Amino acid sequence: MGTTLKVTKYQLYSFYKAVLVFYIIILMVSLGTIALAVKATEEVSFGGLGTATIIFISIAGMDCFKTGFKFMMANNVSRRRFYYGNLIALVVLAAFMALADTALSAILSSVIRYQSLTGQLYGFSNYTAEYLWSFGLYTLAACMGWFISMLYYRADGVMKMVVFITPLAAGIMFAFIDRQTGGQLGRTVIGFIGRAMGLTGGRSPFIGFLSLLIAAAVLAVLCYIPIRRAPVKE
Amino acid sequence: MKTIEVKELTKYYKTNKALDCLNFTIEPGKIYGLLGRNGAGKTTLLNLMTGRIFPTEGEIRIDGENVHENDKVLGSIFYMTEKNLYPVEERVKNIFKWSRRFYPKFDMEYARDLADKFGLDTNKKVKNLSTGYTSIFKAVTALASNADIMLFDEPVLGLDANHRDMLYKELLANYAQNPRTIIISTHLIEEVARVLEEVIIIKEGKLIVKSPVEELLACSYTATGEASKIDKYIEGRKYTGIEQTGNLKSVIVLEDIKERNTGLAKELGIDFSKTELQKLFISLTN
Repeated sequence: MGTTLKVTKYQLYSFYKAVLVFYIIILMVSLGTIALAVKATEEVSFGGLGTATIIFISIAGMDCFKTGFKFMMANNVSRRRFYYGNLIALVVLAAFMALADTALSAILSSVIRYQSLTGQLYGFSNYTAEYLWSFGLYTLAACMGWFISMLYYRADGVMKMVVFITPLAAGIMFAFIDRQTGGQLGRTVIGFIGRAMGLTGGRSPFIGFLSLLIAAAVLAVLCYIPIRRAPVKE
Repeated sequence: MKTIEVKELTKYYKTNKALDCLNFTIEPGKIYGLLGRNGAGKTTLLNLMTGRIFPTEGEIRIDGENVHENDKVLGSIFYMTEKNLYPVEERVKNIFKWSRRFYPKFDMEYARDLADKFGLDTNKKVKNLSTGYTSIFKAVTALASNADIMLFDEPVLGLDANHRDMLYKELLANYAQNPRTIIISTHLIEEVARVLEEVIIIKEGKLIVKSPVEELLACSYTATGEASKIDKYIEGRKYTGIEQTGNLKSVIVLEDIKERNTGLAKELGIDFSKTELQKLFISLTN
């Protein structure tokens, strides 16, 4: 087995306990909801378990770097191998969680009135579309978490503040320009996101899937820049 | 067998020069001592050898290949760092298993034997090990890795005298069975002196000595006697490391042991003895 896949295996090993606990909780919540639905006189609706997965996988992305990187450095693995190994691990994790969520969605929707994120956004869903869209979204969330942790890892005290303040400043600037342009900027951005996600026109989750994958790929490439010369820190 | 070449190596931390244009070659199959005072640049040098940090100028080559991001070369080195890089929530036995994946020559049975000898509980999590046992765990992992090049940064940190002695013995036994390049950076010079074949001494980022231990010690000797007699003996001679207790004075004379004037010494009542590596180190780095 090549070094890259050994890194992947270790990273997946380091995720598995947290993933297990996460799905135990999700299953308990789902079973609780089913039990409630069975007992209830009125119809119980439930949805959007994917939101919890997005939060979970973002945190997994943030958490995947420091410990794994130090351990790989202890084993004299190059940064390049660690980068590829970690990226594969995050993609595999996203693929697995998308599969688990799609399966759960299928089970829940056959028992109660359940609507997945894809169903809520696109108004319809089939399992292939739901799986691919979730996979794209989870990969993006994981890469986003990884990218944030990389920025924080490489930044010194002042840069950490810059990294923290930049999104806030960008948000304030966005709101200001949006107001100055009579809401034109906001409409443009929302329109762009809508088109990129396949929400306008024919409503296609497949377009959304492709856009999410492209965004994830951009973030994954950006992660390589800070990792290239990352020193081992305490 | 791997040759390590250090070429024009300079490292700055912001404006602080940690290493200043180092040039030397480490021949394969020897045990080296990397010595220097605190902040001399020993750990920086070891970190550069394993690509954990990057040189400002110069390079390190192993068998002609630059170490930078070179998996083939990096895979032949095991670096036991003073600081812990292992996941603290992981059990020792699991780290052995993972180390075996990254070091294909890792000897699991040997690791278990060493753990038993040192009384290291492999079921314990890394975070629950004492400072001494953390050092033992890292040293056991290093020895069992069977890497061609082993680098040890303060390997006996927190170890009691018995464990230190055991570790030196195990290191020698391992080396005798499978000669490899070993570099030990430590402050416990006198203890480690018996293990070393060569020493590399760094002072303020500069290389001041790279020599076989025997040759280095043969280039000096210690003269001990009455203060005034010692003063007379060292007239016109190079010397260092003067120590005086009452009227008794000892000095390290920096000349070949063969050139010592035994006739004059007899006349003055001066005794000669072999210089201790630690004393020579102190005088060279002061």
